[in-house]
Amino acid sequence: MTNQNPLALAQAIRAGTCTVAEAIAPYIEKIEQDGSLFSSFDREAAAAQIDAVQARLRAGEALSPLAGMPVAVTETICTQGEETAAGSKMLAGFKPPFEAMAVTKLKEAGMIVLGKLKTDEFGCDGLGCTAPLAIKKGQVLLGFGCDTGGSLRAPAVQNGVYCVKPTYGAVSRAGLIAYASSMDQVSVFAPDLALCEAGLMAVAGHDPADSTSLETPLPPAGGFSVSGRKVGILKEALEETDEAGKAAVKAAADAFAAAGAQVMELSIPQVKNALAAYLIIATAEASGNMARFDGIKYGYQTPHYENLFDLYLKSRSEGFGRKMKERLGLGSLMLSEGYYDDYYDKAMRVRGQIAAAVKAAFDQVDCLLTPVFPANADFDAATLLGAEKNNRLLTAASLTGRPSLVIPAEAQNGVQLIGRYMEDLTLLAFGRAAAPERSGV
Amino acid sequence: MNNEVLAKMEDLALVSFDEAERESVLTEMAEVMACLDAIKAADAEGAEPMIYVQALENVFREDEVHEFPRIDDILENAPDEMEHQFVAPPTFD
Repeated sequence: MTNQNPLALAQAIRAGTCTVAEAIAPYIEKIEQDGSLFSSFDREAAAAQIDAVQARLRAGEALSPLAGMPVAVTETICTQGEETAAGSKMLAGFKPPFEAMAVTKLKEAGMIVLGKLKTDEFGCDGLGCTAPLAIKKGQVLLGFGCDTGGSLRAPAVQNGVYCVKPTYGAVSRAGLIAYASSMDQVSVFAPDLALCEAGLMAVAGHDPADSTSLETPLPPAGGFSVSGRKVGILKEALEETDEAGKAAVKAAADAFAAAGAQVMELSIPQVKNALAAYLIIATAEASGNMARFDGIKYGYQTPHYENLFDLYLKSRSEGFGRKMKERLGLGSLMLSEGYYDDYYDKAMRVRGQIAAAVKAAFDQVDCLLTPVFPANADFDAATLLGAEKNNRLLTAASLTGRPSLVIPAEAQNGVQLIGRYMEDLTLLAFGRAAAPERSGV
Repeated sequence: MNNEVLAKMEDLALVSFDEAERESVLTEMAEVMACLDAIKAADAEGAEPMIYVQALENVFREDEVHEFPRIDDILENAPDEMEHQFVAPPTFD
């Protein structure tokens, strides 16, 4: 049944010709055959959700187009009473007393949240993110996680799956385990663009619990057509990529041209500083967000300590992994005397420069087109810098808060489309023109 | 990057690296700092710092009590708890 068109299957559920349990069964069977991608999966909890959604449908409640469909969230998103360890020993055993707004919205829409998918520690670089594989294996239809600097978009393309990072503030961050608050954004993995859009619409919306949540809903794309629109290929990104990246950009550019768009190359030299600015700002924010992990309130506590300071030091040193400790050390250093002006303050000014330059570029074009990975991406990178370098073409969209859609192509590369603020649905329409043969229904 | 800077990082972040990994951490952090030189070298004269992409404003609400119904669930996550409170070592000797 997982081979059936998912939106048609969801329609059959709403029409009553198929039950939620029947629709979900093949997905659950695949998880039970190989549960290695999940950090938690509770069949009984899933069964309770299935029964509840079926009852709501029987009662005539109007649910979303994806009601009854199986989804999962990464382990950086809180689910009440279910272990949410964020891939870290520091949070092993942590069972949130609340659930993230994104999870609440998924359940309100009638989706079945089957469990939690594994990530690397706090989901920082995406190298340990299993959500795209779970989609490819037919264990879930959609995945939701937190993308900060490409940590979801990169593994999506590496594994042949779509991912949209929405406009910053379009989806509530309440209940998300924070890494870098000014860039963290709940994002959507999907096997095609139609499901990307349905997943985004399910979680988007204002939430008073998140002070950065946008009050205005995402406007619909309406009858949008790319014909007559302008697409800009980012010269600096094209220069950094490999043959597969260039081929992916060319294929997308050809598809845009065939659809009547005007494709041009443009230069934004400021984006060359995006990775360095991202590293400074993200680690500085992380050093503040991670200060709460002290071995007392939740998570890991060292068994042997002499005093309060020793408890803090040992719990943090033993609870965080090496790369996370490097990030926290770096971020703390960037905020300290002797470094703040030269690095942190300067990085924020460079961020402002990048945002202004990208804004100016959007006076000339309606959409930016880049490859996803630079040349020599190392998907087994063990070092902090190695992992972040893989994602460097994705950081400009994070720094500027713009919506970014990635579309997989051949040879573990693909294209990124960057759109205007709040025009996420229009960006998805651009995506359908860039990859018309794989857009879903 | 040197041992002194690494020690400062550990001190500020309240973490420590194992002795066995210090050498490789130093090497990796030196690579990171070299990458960050792009920021030191960037000409940002006159540019305004951008902290958030949105112009953040204070969000005001009425000062009302909202009871959290699951206090026990919070305390269940505490590594050590006594009489409905988190247990911590003495702050002063």
